[in-house]
Amino acid sequence: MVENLALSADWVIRQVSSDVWRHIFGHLYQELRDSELPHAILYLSHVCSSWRAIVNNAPELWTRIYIKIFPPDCCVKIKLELLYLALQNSREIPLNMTFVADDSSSANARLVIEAGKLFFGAVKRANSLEMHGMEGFPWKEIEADIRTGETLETLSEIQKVPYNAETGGSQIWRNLATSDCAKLLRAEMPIPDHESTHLQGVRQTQEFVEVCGGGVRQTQEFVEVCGGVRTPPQTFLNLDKYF
Amino acid sequence: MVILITSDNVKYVVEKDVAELSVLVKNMLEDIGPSDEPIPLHNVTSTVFNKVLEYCIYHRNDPPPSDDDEGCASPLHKYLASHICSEWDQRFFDVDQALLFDIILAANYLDIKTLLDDACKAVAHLIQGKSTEEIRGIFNIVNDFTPEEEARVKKENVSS
Repeated sequence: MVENLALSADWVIRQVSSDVWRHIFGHLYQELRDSELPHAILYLSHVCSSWRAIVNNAPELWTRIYIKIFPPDCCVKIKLELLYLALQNSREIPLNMTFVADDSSSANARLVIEAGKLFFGAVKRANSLEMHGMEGFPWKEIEADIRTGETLETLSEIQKVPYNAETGGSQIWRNLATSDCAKLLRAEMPIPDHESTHLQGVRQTQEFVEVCGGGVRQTQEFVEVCGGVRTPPQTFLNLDKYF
Repeated sequence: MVILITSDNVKYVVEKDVAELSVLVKNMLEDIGPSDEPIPLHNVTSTVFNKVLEYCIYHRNDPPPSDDDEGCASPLHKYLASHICSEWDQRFFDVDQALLFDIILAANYLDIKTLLDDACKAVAHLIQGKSTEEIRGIFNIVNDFTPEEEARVKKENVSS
């Protein structure tokens, strides 16, 4: 354990250059979990004016954009403010973006839409994009913002894929189309239980899907299992948890 | 062999491959050519240089850091690079803070990237998971915000 035995007041601020502190913060940033961001970086900027200047002028410390929407509304509001701050401080450099909306249906719709607009409006800067649990998310309201992005070209409301004759029913997946498939790391879509059961039934035949660019692409065989309707070739669906 | 003299006038005779882990020393050796002239290290005391030398001798056969470490290295590579720290390294950095920061300053001056990286990781580890107040306490940093800045910080604190 390193102990503070001999540091006089502000010695480290006077002696250690801004570049070195930025280097230290960079290492810290690598160690932080997504869910700790951007709070942990924000706290650094609250230590003293010198650190505040360093942190606010180090866009690389703000490039992992992680927003998780969940009630109560005050949490959504806070997330929104932090999202603003992170997007502002990251300037124009590429982002690694994650949007989690597990239970957005019961949160304040205005705030959720605002967060969605802000997030998807910045998707054009995404190096990678990850989305989770979109049940109940007000896609229609932010569709225009999504289309302004270069990365995420379209996000159609819902695509209904007829299921095969054995299980019946219909499968509901949202359809993502990206201009650069490699940028979309993962998009977890809600799949009803009976359908995931069916997918588990084909887990031994993983040739039904192929891994590509960090995502999963449907193969022709998989399309046949799903009832013969193929989503566009650039569509990625993360099915990890079902296989 | 290379002769190095620290700021407190202590002379070290160091094997060339060890000395050249410092980009500063390497460049100076290239500039002056074959010579027995001692190289002065103005910003490093013998106490700190002892530690630097200990690190350089231990890591003399490590592969040189590549530019990939910063740029297009794979996530796995970056993870391993940021987490692998041998027991020897852990013991090496188990020093008081003043010495740890002196090592950082020396590594920065001597341009020894791996030492600078490892020492910065050690400091980052001290910061991780700490509150603003705890960080101030650990490093003896004075809160120098103006009342206006303090108000903004407080507002951000409520938000986060």
